[in-house]
Amino acid sequence: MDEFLKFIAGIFDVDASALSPETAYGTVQQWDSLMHIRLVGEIEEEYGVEIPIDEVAEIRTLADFYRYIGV
Amino acid sequence: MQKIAILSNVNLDILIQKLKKDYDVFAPEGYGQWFKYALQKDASLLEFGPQTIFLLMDGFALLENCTTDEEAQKETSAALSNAERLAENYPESIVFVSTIHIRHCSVAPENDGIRENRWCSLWNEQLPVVSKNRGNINLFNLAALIGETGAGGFYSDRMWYMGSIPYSVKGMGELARAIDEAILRSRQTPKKVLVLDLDNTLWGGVLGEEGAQGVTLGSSLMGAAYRDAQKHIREMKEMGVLLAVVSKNNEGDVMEIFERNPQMVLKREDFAAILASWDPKPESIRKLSGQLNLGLDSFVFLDDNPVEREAVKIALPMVSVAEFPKDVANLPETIRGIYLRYFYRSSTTAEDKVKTGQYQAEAARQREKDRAESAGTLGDFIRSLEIKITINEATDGQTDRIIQLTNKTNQFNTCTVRFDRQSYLAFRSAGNHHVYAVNASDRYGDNGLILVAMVTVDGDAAEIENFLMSCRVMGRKIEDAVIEAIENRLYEDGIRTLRARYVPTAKNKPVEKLWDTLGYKTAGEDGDGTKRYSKLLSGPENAAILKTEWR
Repeated sequence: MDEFLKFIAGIFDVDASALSPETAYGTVQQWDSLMHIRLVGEIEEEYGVEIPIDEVAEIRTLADFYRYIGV
Repeated sequence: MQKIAILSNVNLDILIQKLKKDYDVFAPEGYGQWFKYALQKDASLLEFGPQTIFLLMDGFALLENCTTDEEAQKETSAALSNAERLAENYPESIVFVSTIHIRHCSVAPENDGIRENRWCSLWNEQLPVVSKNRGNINLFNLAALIGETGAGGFYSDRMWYMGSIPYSVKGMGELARAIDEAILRSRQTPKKVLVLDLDNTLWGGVLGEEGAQGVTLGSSLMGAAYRDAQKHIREMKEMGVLLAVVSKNNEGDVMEIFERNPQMVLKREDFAAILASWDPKPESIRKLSGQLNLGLDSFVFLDDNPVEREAVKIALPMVSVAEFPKDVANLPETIRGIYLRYFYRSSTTAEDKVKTGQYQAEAARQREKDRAESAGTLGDFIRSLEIKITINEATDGQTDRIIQLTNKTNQFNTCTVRFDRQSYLAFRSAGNHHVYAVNASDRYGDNGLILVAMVTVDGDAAEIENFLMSCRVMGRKIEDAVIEAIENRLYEDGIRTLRARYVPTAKNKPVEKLWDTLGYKTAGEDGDGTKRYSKLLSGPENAAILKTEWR
């Protein structure tokens, strides 16, 4: 999880300590609707997974994303 | 942070987010609006003042509503003229306009002709023409970037249907990297000389052991990699890069392979100088710099031997040392990379293509000058060169070369005023300005256009605003003759006082005393170190060693 948070922090351009698995859509300034889509793309690219499109809207927290990377 | 603007006909918000880490980015709200910024000077964009503007056009979005070739033609020429307006409205910015790529626009049999290719070429072949008209337009090869990345990985249907974003996160990353490179290239001063090792760099094996016919070079296997590398090096020479050899070999062996091995793509005359000796390479490179009369900071060194590379790095830190690939199969691509990294120029002038010959002659002159100087007969040496100098009021055909000289000349440059096309043409067309262009040739060959003087006239006084000369003709008193000719011409026009300035920079020390030695009187010094000079013109003079001719 720590590695994952570090990866996300790099995208948000914030310190990793500012994030937790509970960090959710809309609770940090960087995570808006555009960032939501970008996160899907960044995570798919980094971890070689595919997040089904119809589930994207239901993802709320970083923990939700984390489930897709299968570790 | 450097200021850039990103305009596009598609949603590139992810790219913009990425770029904001490294740049101050201007991007309009709503991506369909790019042409509004192009058609008129937009107050917010002007105030932002971007050094660079990128116009990134997506081919599919541009032409998606077209059904026939005629419609596509109309659409592309309208958009191209908007791109040209963009460059016109923001003359202070470098404007990168992308080539276009179309992934696919319809389901159709390929035997009917491939519409995507046809339509892309409407834009991509016209774009260089537009950039020729507008000096501040540069081409940004988006189509090639998509090809190299692979269209399948660059575009993303998922991103498109989730957020109307045409490119994948990977594609956006590649785009950001290409933008970094384009900005870097547009800001750097291109290098001038590629210094090459021979054994295992231009061919495989050691010449002294294998013999001129025995080295690995040819049309198959690894020999072909070396041959393809030589082809790229030759292309660089055609683009105006000077080639030189610094090799630890017997000179006779080197001459033999150039003359006898038919597989050699590079010929002896492609090189401005060939130094084959057993001296340490840093020493040979230093010697080369003297012969060609070019600073070491304009040299790039390529050698397969890491020990030689290290020796040059340590002894000559101003020389750029290129990395050599571990696998020879990558050598041709490495050479291409060296061109892009060190020598890239957005366009070439006629002068670039004949440069090697000029520098070969320069090396010959320099050797003679060294001899003359050691014998204490510099004046005789200058006369022996039979230098011919012609001066004329600058013509349209000389514009590219003059702009290039004002931007490239660092040492012999009294005021170091840089011009782009716009500002140069504005200066030249004003009624009270003269731009004098000077060509020189001698018995070794034609030096081309090597000196520019810009003069502003005000009543019976005039001021030399810019006086600069190519460093390859320094030390021949050409400047003395040219100034005398200009003074005489201005005197005929009724000018009685001629003023001049020396504006110090890190590199123009060689002309610090120029005006003093030409008989100008000091007329004050500004806070920034600028020295002002003036001279009363009392009649035609005829004191310079060299003669000039007006055309």
